[in-house]
Amino acid sequence: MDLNARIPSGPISEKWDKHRFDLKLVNPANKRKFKVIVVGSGLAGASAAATLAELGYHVDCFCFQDSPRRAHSIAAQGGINAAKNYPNDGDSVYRLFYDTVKGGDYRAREANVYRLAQISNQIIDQCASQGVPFAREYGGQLANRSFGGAQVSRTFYARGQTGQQLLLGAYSALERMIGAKKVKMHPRTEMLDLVLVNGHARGIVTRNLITGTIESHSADAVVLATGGYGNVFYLSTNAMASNVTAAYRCYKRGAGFANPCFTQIHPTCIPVSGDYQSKLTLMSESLRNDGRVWVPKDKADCRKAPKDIPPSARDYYLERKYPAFGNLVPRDVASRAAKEAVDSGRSVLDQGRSAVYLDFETAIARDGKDAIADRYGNLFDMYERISGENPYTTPMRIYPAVHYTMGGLWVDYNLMSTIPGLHVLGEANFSDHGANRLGASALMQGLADGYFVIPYTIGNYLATAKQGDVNTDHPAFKDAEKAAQDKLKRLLNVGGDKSVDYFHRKLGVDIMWEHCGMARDKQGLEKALQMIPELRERFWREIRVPGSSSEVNLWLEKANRVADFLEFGEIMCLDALNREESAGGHFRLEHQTADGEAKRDDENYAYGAVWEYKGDGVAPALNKEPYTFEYVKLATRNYA
Amino acid sequence: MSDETMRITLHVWRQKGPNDRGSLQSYKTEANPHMSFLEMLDVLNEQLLSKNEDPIAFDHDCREGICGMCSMVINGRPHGPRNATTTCQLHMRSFKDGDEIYIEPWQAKAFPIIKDLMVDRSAFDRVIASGGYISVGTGGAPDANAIPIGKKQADEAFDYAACIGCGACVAACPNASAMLFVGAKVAHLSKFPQGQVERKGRALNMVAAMDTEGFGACTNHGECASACPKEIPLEAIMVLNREYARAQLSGGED
Amino acid sequence: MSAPSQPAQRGISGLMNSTIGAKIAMALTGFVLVGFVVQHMVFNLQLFAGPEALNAYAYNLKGLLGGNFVWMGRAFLLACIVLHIMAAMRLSARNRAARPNRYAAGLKTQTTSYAAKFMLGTGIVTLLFLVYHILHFTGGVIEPDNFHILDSEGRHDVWRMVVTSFKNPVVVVTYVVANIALAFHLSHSVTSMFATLGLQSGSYRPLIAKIGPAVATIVLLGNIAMAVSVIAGLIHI
Repeated sequence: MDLNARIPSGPISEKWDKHRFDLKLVNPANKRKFKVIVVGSGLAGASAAATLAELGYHVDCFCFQDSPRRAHSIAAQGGINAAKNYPNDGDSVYRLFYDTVKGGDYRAREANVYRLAQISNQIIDQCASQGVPFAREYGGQLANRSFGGAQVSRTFYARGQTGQQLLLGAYSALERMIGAKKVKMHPRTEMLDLVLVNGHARGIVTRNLITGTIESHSADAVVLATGGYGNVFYLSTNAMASNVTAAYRCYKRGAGFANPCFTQIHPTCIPVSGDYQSKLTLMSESLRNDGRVWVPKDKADCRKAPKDIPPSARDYYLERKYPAFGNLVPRDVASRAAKEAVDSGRSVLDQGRSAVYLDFETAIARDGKDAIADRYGNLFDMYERISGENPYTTPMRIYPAVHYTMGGLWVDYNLMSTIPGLHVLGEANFSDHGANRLGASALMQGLADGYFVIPYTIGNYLATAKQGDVNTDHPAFKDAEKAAQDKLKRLLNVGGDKSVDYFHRKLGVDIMWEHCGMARDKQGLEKALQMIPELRERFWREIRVPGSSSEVNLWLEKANRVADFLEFGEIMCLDALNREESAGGHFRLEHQTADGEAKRDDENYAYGAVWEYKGDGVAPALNKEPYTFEYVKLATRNYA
Repeated sequence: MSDETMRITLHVWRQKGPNDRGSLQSYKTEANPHMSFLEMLDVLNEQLLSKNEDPIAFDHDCREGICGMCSMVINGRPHGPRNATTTCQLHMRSFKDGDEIYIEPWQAKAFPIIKDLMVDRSAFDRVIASGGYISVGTGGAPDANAIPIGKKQADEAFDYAACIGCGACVAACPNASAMLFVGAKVAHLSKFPQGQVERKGRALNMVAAMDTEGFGACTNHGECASACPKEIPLEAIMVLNREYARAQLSGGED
Repeated sequence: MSAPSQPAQRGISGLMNSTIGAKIAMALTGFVLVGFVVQHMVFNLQLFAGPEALNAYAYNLKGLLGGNFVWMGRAFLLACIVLHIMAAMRLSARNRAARPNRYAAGLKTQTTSYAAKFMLGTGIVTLLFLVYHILHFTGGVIEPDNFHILDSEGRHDVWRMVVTSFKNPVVVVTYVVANIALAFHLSHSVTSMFATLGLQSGSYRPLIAKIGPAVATIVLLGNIAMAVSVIAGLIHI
């Protein structure tokens, strides 16, 4: 597997400029001769589709939702980082770069991260000019707030709905191009396979989710922006339909899958309340600006009402353990600390359920209820709707939940995967966040990739690949269509008696969360690697999918996605087992310091682990992209 | 939690496809107050699956009230009885043991029913494509702070921009009018200096697209705003009326 | 700006073909009609001032501009009524078509007033009453004997005509019922008129919400006061 990252030479601050000059261009008249497929319409997909269409390419954009505006980027709450240094508190491109590499526990590629930090400022300009209603100061300037893992205020936000507002900005740009007939939009259409001709990505096979029709679409290049795979855990903050299928099918067609074990557990989510639970709801990390996390010092106090526990009997454990960052430590650190508190028997929920308090008492006493309502009103309302408790008067109960996946398809500096012509953007790739993503960086990466990276780098591919015309009559399309069709038929014909959710929950909750969740060890991972194939085998014997493949069939869609999770989960566990160190979101119990912090092994594991498909029932091959750190000095992360 | 068990009867609109007539069918199920409304339906669907019956198709995705995908008229109210709450965030504690609950899809000519409770809302996308944007290509934007926008103005724009495109306004309107949806976008963009340039064309084109899609007209009942899970103010319709009249009377050219 | 696939029609034809344009037409014609109704009521209240005042007013009005003013006014009002009805018919047909299938369990409206709900019905009752009213007091077709009376100065004795008519309980009930329908119509429509013109805005919203019911109440009380006063014996010949 060729893992040449194609990082431009020269000083890090000049790489991107130099590279943009070195990239081959497609002249404006020729752009209209090229067709690009964009799969996904979230921040990365919508911004890419709109921008490529503005440049003159023909774009076909696909999403499985009923409208591109509903992609799950919409649910991001807190904000988007940029190195504007508007508050004059010492921020710079270099600091954002440094914080991101450090926050990612030194498991990301320096050159990509630096470019991300450079582009961050342009993103804010672009979005503001589109009419994104960012929060403002009274003087009319943009407002900033602080987020975990940073000591400067560099997060731009639109109340607690920043993802929504940024996505609607990208969506409006996309709709403008759809109206101008430069983009053909295919909503309610799910990608089922990638089609390669002469080793290049030349199209996709899709299923129309209304009619059930399997269709082929050819193009000169394919851009995948299909998000993360957090739903392998069944319960996560992802949308219900978020899935790994598109990325996984590309993996099976030869794209390397990098660092799948790097998953982010978000510290502030509403805890699980019962077996019927279908998803978990995130409460924005921004709440940690003013909220204080605690559990009672004494287990015996756990069933008492929080107001009856005096401050002296409360353990504000983040402030105690990390005095410098306090409640604003990075997500992985905060999550593990919550688990540690609960494991010590101090959960503040009964019946074996886990939770810690996030308390606004101090902030309300200091700033007043109105100021807090102004900052977090919609989040407090949401909490109240779900939990039935009023967070103005009683502390929120929170617990970590799966939120984001840093791993993804391997890409080079041009965001191209190991399959020529297949480009991967946003959460679907692995490039920028290492082993842990800092808050407010996902929106930044999605938009950077879509607005400002792919428009340049795809031109270079198109100008140099020279693959000629291919249409959907090519046998490669027919074969892929048949394979997709056969798989759906197979699912419908099992005729067992268990629902798809039964298997999804077993995989996610009983195996992945249990053994490949917040803390992992060799024994558990090996057990998981034994359980997954067994469950997969049962799935193909016992599942019942109602209806047919030629109609709206939500259960068939789900079963097809879960079938891929049942294979993909194994690669995650293999990766977690291989990585004999703790880094960011990947915490191996065997590798921790005396005081329970993650212990990296830079000697042996400073690489991206890239898994290569070798056939069904055959172990995937491990390839390595070594990480070299020229600018950021490798050090143990210290937030104390 | 057996003491909290609620026994409820659901009357659910079942319709095989766009051309099927459709009818209400009744189901008895159990729930508890901590479940979300959709989780209650998930449980019912699992029961239907185990009895080899066709489960109820409904749209949903983020289940945190922001994607706008969920769409059900519950007991005659879009998104159910709780104000400012989408169906996915509605919890069973808003109902009680023994309740009968009617669940129907959005009914509007512009939102054809796909199956059961799923409807096609692509009309909204076409309305946005007709002008619900600021025509700024990627790149070349001035520094974000170069266009100062007052806090109050930004906050007001946000109130309109918060629309999630769910269509509850259309579902609640006796005339299936989309004026609140269109008004919210026109009002959002009209609040900003960068939205001024295409102001007239936007209002005219979006209203023309809205009419073409077959939405009804506004009769100023205010049902839309009261059904809106994001509490988009009715003022949006005032802004739309003014923007439209102003654009037509001044010849419509930006 | 990239051109949309179907650019909107501009100008008057664009305005008239759009839903908002039709609503504006309803609002503007409605404004004229409600203006007429209010002044009609105010001047008719001269019934309480006795035959001289009312008959002189009627005589002078008919003589304005050599008798042309009344006919010009009638033509203008008729045009407004026709436009108002045409726009209403078009919009209500469109609104019905916008929801071909009703909700099986019905919509539970939250903010719709009874007045708003029955606009079409109260509009039709008002129209029928208008025809009756014109045939009655303007054309003299309903009670011709009553109509052709002159006062001592040789003018049309409007006062006597009205007072005589309102002694008949059937006539009074007809007028009261019709005026209640009209009041309901005005209660929603006057406020709605401001909203359609985009004027029920900002801090004026609550005030304008009250204008419709206020105008409706005044018109209702003023109009039925005349009929009721006669049948109650407060005014007699």
